[in-house]
Amino acid sequence: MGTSLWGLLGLIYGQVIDLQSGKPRLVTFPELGSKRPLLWVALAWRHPPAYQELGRIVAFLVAQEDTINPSSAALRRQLGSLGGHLSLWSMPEGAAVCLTVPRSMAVEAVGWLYAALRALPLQDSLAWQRLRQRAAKAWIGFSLRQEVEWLLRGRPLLPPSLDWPQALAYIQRYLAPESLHIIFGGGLSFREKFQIGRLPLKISLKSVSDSLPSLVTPPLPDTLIQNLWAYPGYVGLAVEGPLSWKERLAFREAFLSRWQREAPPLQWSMQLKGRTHLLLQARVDGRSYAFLRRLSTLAAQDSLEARAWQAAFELFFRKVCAHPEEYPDLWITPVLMGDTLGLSDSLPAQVWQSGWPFRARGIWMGNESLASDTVVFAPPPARPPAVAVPDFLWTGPGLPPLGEWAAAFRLFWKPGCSRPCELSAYYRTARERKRLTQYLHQLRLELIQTHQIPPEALEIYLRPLPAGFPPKAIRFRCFSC
Amino acid sequence: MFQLLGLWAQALCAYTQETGYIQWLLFHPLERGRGEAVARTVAEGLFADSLLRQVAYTHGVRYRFRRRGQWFCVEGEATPEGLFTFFHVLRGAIQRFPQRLQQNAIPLVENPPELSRSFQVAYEDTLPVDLSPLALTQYFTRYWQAGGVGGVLRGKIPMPLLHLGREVVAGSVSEAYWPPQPPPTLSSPAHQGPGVVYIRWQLNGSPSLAAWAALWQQADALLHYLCAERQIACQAQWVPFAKGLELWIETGLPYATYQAAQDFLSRPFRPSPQRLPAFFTWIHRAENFLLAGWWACLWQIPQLPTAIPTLSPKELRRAARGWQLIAYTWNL
Repeated sequence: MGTSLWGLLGLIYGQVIDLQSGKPRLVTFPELGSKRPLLWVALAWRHPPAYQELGRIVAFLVAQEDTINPSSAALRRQLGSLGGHLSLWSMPEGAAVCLTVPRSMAVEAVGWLYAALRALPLQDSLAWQRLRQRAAKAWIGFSLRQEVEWLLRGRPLLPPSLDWPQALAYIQRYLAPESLHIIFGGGLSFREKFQIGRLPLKISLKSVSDSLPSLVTPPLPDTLIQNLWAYPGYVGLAVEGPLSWKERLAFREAFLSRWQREAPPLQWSMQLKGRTHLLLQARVDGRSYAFLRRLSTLAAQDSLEARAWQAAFELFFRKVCAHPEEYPDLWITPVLMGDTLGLSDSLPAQVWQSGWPFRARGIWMGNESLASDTVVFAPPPARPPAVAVPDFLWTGPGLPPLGEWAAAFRLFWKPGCSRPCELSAYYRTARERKRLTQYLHQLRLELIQTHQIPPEALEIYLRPLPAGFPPKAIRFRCFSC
Repeated sequence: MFQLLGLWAQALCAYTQETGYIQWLLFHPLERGRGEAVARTVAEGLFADSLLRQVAYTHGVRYRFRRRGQWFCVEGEATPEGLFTFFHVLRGAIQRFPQRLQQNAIPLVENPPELSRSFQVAYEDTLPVDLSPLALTQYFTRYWQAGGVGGVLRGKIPMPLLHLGREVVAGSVSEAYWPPQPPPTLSSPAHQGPGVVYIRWQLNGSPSLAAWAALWQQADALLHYLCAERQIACQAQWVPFAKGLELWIETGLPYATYQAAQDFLSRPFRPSPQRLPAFFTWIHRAENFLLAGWWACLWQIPQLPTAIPTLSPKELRRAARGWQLIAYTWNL
């Protein structure tokens, strides 16, 4: 049974879910294409947030990390001949074992994952003991990052209890075939789907995953910690983002773009958390720290910033589609939460200009050195201007985005504005002037007739081409009223 | 078909793939592996051009500066449209650079970041450097203006971008190779503490896909041995050059790592066709996307495999014959 979940709101990237009784749910993203050289596939399952650590160790167990065990070593060798690259993922929503393989090995990759599941020890074994010891050793090491992550997730700083009965209960509850998801970062042919459907997966586990508690995150307290031992500040924040997945990614790119431009951090990492939040951890200098403290609204200050955010979002989106294996959060989390992941590479210009509130709560580690480092920091205006002044520079290819310009114009223009907006082109030689003038008139006419821009609000200009400036550039620019 | 799948030129290599975006790299050698501060000052000064920065910002073009062995690299990613505009403006920025230098608009970079330390020690690139305007101009002219920079594009590359790229990267990269010299303290064994284990494979014959696959297999197997089996070193930088590969393994246990590497490399090595799928995955994985393109470019491999290569054991063994192998270690 195929259920296409795209088509609404012009979404261009949606998932297709195939169900077969007694088998894992097969989730594919056909619009990612089926001609790329590599294919990413994840075997994922849900679990309650408290089991994140246990989920991580069970994922190690499924991935046959214990190569001392002969059967694990054989499976690993088999994986080597597939050219597979393994990675593990464990978050509050669930855990996964991910494989990147050559495109032609799609069915074999799922076969390997099933074989690994079948080889999962269902009794206290040496493999389990070794992994448990490894997890216990990892716990002993000091990791500020991990500690902050646990605090952010509202969890006690205690090592997880890793006894075998608990692990067995976890495996039996959450790794039953019907509870599993096989997620492909790409599309599959009918033949491949058919072959995957025929692959045997006989493990004696009964699914009880319906009893999973919902993911409710308790409100996070804002904690200020005096960190006296090192200069760079450290923040671990849960940042509240918009509800839709697409907008949340846009919000992420807008925030990173503004942050990198105004007060770049020394190091940072960001993950998706649940349905609304982003988890941010960063080492910051005083300026960057103050930026985070003061930021209250994230909206494009002018059309230039909106354009930059759109470009950053577009690049991020294309990277996500080109290398899905690099962004497991994005592909796995919505599937496990039962959401529809509808993505596209652009957003309406108004979204960037209306922006979002910026609310971050969490752990702020700082000291007086950070405060003294903010002397050069100029505080931003309390509120960004409600409406940005349009200023677009178009350099091709294709046709100028007249609709986008007109949308920004309509938001901005008031009848009382004294100075009309300008539509400029740039010439290299005098010979080009005639052609460019005609072209500008044509654009102006289209803006007036099709996009209802008042004729008195738009003038055209020809200017000499500055050095290093793209020759086909067209600028649409307005001025403050 | 050849045109569609991949293009190779002396200075600019283009490997087309339907990824929707492009990873790009501009690189040039450092003479005798020295002069990173000058190279960095020139490159950062060039890319600090206000118009270029503005275009990079509004078109979402990302870039970073990095030294890899004897090479100085500027690498980044962008959409094809964004990179087209960026290269266009970069051409203008190259023309404006001498004027900006005259106006003292170029910030000096005297202390390159720590990341390059292992390279600096190996090449003795720690001497005081001449960052006078004359030295910067000479350096700039030699590499950026007279075509001493090479380039790699990998991803979705439209033809106009390729033509423009060839105008920006118009010359030919110097064939000169400067291997790092063994440090003078090599006679005494490296002590425990931050150190580097350096391994270099130099090909006997001409580079080919078979030689690439075979060499990759040995380097990958060595790193797997050191990391997964011996658990003594897991960080390494791959630095290809025209006829071989360098591995710079960073470790806290240089002596033990060196011994383990020697043990491993002294065993007979037989490249296997069974590892070719893994080689193929390595070439196309995101984290090696640019490195693989660069390696192929330096080895003049015209196109990257689009399917798992079919090479016989005999071909692989023949390609692996007669490699020259050099390894040493030193403390940082």
